[in-house]
Amino acid sequence: MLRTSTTLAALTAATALTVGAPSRADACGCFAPPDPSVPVVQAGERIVFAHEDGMVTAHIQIQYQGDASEFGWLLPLPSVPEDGLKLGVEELFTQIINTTQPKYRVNLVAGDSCDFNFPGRFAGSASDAQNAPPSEEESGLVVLQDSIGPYDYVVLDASTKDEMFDWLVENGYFIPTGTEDVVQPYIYDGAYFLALKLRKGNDVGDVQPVVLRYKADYAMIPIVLTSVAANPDMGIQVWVLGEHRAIPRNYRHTVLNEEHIDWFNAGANYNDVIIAATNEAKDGQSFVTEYAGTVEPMRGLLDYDGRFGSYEDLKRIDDAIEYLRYLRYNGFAFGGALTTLLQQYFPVPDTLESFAKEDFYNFPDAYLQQYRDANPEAYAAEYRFDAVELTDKLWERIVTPTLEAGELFNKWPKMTRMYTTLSPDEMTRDPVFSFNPSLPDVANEHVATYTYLCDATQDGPQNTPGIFELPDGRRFYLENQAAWTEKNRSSVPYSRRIEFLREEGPPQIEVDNSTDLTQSTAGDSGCACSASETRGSAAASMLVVLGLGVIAVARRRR
Amino acid sequence: MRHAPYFAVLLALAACSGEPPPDPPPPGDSALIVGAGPEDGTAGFIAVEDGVELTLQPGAQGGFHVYVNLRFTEASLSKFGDDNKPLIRRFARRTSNGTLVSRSTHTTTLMPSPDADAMFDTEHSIPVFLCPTPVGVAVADETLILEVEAAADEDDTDPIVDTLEFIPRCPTGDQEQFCRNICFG
Repeated sequence: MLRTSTTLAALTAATALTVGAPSRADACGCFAPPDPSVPVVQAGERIVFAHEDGMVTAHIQIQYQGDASEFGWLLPLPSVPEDGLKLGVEELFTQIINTTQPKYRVNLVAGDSCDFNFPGRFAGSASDAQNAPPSEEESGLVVLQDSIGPYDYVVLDASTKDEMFDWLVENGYFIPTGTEDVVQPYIYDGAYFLALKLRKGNDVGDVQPVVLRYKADYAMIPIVLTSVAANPDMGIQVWVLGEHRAIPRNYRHTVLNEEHIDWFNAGANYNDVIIAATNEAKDGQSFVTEYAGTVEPMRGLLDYDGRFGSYEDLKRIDDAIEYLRYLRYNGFAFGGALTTLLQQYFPVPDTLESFAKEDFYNFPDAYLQQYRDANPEAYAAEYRFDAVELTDKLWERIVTPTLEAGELFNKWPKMTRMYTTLSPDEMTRDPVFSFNPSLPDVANEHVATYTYLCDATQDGPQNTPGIFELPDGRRFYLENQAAWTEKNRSSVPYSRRIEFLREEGPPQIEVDNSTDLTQSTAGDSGCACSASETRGSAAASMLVVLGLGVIAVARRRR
Repeated sequence: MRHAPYFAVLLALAACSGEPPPDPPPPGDSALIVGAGPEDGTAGFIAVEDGVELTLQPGAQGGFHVYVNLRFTEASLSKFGDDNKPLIRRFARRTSNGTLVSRSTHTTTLMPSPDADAMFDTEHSIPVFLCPTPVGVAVADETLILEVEAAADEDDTDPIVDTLEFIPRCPTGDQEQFCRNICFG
């Protein structure tokens, strides 16, 4: 898809995701604090697909930074979307990101003779991890035109490029330079384009996801069109819901060599590893499966019983404080589109401190009463509002889209999360997604183990030598935890395997790097510690010998 | 098509195989015929023979497909209940090595055929998505076999089945090069 703005260079500079454990919006409308054990990834494209009965439903997150007047968005469609355009919600993405986020943890294990206890599991310390409507004569071109929420949208017949582009320009849709060079594959008899722009009076803060439902055999991302406005190594994150595990049909599939993960810093270099690994595939076109499994963790997160209360009750509340209290106690998650909407009715005084602005709607008693009584000059006027109008908007923009997004996870049993990064010169092929019933699930939680060699603990846990074991069973002697991060692996491939995932059967392996990976340097007994894994100092060598001696003694005692 | 006993004289309007089109099955039998559809995707069953060449049509956000259509005997309808909406499962494979190149499951609506008595056709032509192909697998200029199962529902273990062998070809003109880029693996 293509966001038509000169400021689209900021695609990947969109809101940073502080991802965390699966969390349910609680009564205060907040989410649980972010989990520091997960890598932060900023993706330029995020789409949740669901596929059933020849219909594709796409929830598309639109990330945009720039002037509202320059906001525009183009998407080629295989058919006129059924039910037109619908609104989506950011909360779907927040929750599904959290729920399926790859996590890299290290279990710390005390050696047999240790006389101290470390926490059984950690993932690096928190501080480590935080380091104008158409005329009649135009109606043949304009297939559908309407407005929804903050958007005006139009579906255009894309049989001819020039006619379509002329219409877009005449009607205020910005088309970035270069679009005409890449759009040709999407121009043919029976093709359609969806164009989107902000309605008058709406701002960039009003931008929210959109939902489309259209006939198609497969879900596809028209990434070729995105190439004119993409940054290098742009992240593309996709979830596919269905009966089975989803696969990238026409892209390769990469299994990471987890040796490159910065395990002791919660996988902080994860995105760099993904970039390097996918670039090892032909044309840089490969996806990594980050999660494949049940949708159960998502069930009820968005649409739990009683959420949002009653439309009839809410629209009868004409007191501002009572109204905001009702939102707070009925699961409205303040932020994003909701906050933007509320600001139109209950503007936050400019004189408030920034933290207070963030808390304004969460604590209406404080900010609309106590603080106001103390600072009447900060408030311009009474908060008079049309409760029916506001409630209608809330139901249109927040409640209905959230509940419909939640319904996705009641309809399909499985979800698959895939991720890749692509630079503009790699965006030559639109990724298509399908299913393979015979492929196994993929866990998003990855756990390695670090077993301390206990007689060398004087320098603290992070500086204590140990045996580090990756989930794939490879074992390494480490002089300290930093040695893992600092180790030179320039000649070690980032991919364990590059493979083709077909719509049936097991993966077909194209590249198997297993023999090129760094092999275990600590044997099963812990007696094979290699000096090459240490810093090479004599002292380190002594530690190796000493540590192995302890292990050997401990094993003989069993 | 595998209705050898029924082969006869339906004319292949868009087919290029040169073989005579097959006979329709007797209306009293429960049977399905896979045919082609008009290249613009509108309704219309076109009887074709195995080996037919079908032109890849642009569509689906920059992909290519061929149009097929399904024809059912009247006797088939009882299987699908009152709404005449069979569940269609489609599998397209390369005949050379059996590689699966397209799969889809969907329901479709049947309408009385405008040009064949006691026959029912799919309401619209069905696009069989082929390109972009599975990575490394050519589809264009390859003989594919399309197997179609028409079932009453997900639990129906005795669907009506037919197949069609066809060779997809890239279109000429503006879309030819793009087709060649994404339909040859």
